[in-house]
Amino acid sequence: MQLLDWLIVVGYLVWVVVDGVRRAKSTDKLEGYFLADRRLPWWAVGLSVMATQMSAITLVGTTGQGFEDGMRFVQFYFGLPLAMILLSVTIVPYFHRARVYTAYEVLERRFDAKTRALTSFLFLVSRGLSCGVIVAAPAVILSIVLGWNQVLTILAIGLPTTVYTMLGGVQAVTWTDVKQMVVILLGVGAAIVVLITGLPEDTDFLGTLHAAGATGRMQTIDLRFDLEETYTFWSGMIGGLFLMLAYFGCDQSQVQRYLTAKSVDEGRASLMMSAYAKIPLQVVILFIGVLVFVFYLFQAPPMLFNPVHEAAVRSSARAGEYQRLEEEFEAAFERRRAAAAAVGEARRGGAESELEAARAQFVTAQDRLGVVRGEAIELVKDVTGDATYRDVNYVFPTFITTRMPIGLVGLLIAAIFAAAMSSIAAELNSLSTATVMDFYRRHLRPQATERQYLLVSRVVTLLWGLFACFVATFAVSLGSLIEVVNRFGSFFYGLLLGVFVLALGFRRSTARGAFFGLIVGIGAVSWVAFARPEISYLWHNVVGVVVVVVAGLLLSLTDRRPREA
Amino acid sequence: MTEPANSSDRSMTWLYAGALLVEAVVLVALGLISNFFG
Repeated sequence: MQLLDWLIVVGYLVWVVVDGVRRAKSTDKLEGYFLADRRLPWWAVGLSVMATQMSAITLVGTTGQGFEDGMRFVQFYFGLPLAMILLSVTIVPYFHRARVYTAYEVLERRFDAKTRALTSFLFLVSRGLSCGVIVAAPAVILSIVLGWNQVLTILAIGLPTTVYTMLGGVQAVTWTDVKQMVVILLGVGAAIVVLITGLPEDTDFLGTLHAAGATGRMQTIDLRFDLEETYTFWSGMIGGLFLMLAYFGCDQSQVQRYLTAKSVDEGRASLMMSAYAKIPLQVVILFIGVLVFVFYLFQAPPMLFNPVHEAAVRSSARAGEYQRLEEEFEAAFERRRAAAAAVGEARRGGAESELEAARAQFVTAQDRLGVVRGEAIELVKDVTGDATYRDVNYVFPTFITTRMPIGLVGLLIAAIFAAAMSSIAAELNSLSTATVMDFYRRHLRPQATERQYLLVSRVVTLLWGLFACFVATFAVSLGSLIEVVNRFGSFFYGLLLGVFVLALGFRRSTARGAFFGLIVGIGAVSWVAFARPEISYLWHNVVGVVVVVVAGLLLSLTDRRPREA
Repeated sequence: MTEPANSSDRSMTWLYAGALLVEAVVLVALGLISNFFG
């Protein structure tokens, strides 16, 4: 990174932190600190909803996934628009009328205190862990760019975010989110322009997409109904629907966003912004990953995208073996480059059979390159002892720092960092809200003053920030980070959604049925997750909802005590 | 005369319908892209 890039990154981060801290002035009451006095406009809430969902993982993990696996991950979001409509019709007016601070408060009114406590606890566990993963993603980037120790980079990201969230509350979170979205969109646009203009002049762009398509990277829709396939149309449409219903309807980090809206309709409109924009935006971000793949068809890619591991192998006793693989990789790259150019020429020629033959040759060349890269990855695993090594999360950051022009490197890095910070901030804010409102105020100190609650809220935010940093130190080696977050979420979300379905949809459900239905559901999802690991994690959401609702209803029917209102 | 609540309901219904329409268009476009390059 050059001086200009550093100035952009540092200037942006300082601005975000200062702007966040400035919001502390208007947060002297609990409702202002946690809910902005329920007076925010729909567009700001809507952008905050999107920015909270789109963390640095979205840029780093999704582009890496697009590079390695193609665009089929977009199917994950197919259930989102319908989920937003269902939530706008049902849960948004319900929460607004109830004037709650947390989603779990309504469960106490409908069922009992222990159901509220258990659901809030599940939220704290799942969101607390995933917050750590969200800190880890930009830390990976910083460690590459700066060559710093990863623990140091985790603290560099986590601590400033914790400080402005602690002082500025939800106002700081929302208004910084709005700014992040603008910067993210600018960064995404800049990356696309650089990737397309960076191709050699005589390259046939559609031909390169044909080459990417030959490897399956342009495949976006898979209509097979296969429970073991993670991303299919059906897993996205059904499993994804349940996941999104649970994420936006039962996860405090999102519920808190639209609780700050001025009215029911403004809350609905804020969710509908994602219903319109999320899938197209994800298509664009995944397409960036495919474009990075296309870019490296003509510009020599590194054999490994993680320079730290590469350096470890180079300085080991097996450096000679690595050098031999590098030579093979270079030769395989040249063959693949020629094969990619041939696909473009065949496409321009117009003969279908020639195009098919060229595509087949390209696939062979790509497979050969993949074999050599696979051997290099195995070598890294042997030398470093890191059996889980994957470098998919390093692909886009490496492209940014080695191929983007001066100035845009700073913009992209700032966009990734700031997006991460805003998501972390939203999560810390919601973790603090649930801890204080569902446990501290409800069970420990019901009669404390506003001033005391505010002080405790700030201390709790600080503690959650430190916890997230601690988890992040482990999360950096967990493979594709976006999958890690979604796996955490899918384990818990179906369960939470099941309890809300019982509360809102079934008048006969009782407190005992809901609580023990939830316990049965935890057992069922745990069994599926651990005993049947081949089943895609998106289906955990469906299992969770169905088991909690069915078990909860059966237990409610056997409940002899009078039904609670 | 316009009932505010009905007007709000109608505009929200259009908002929901629009979201489903946008998704349908995007899915068709993605299907065509998969087919063309796949």
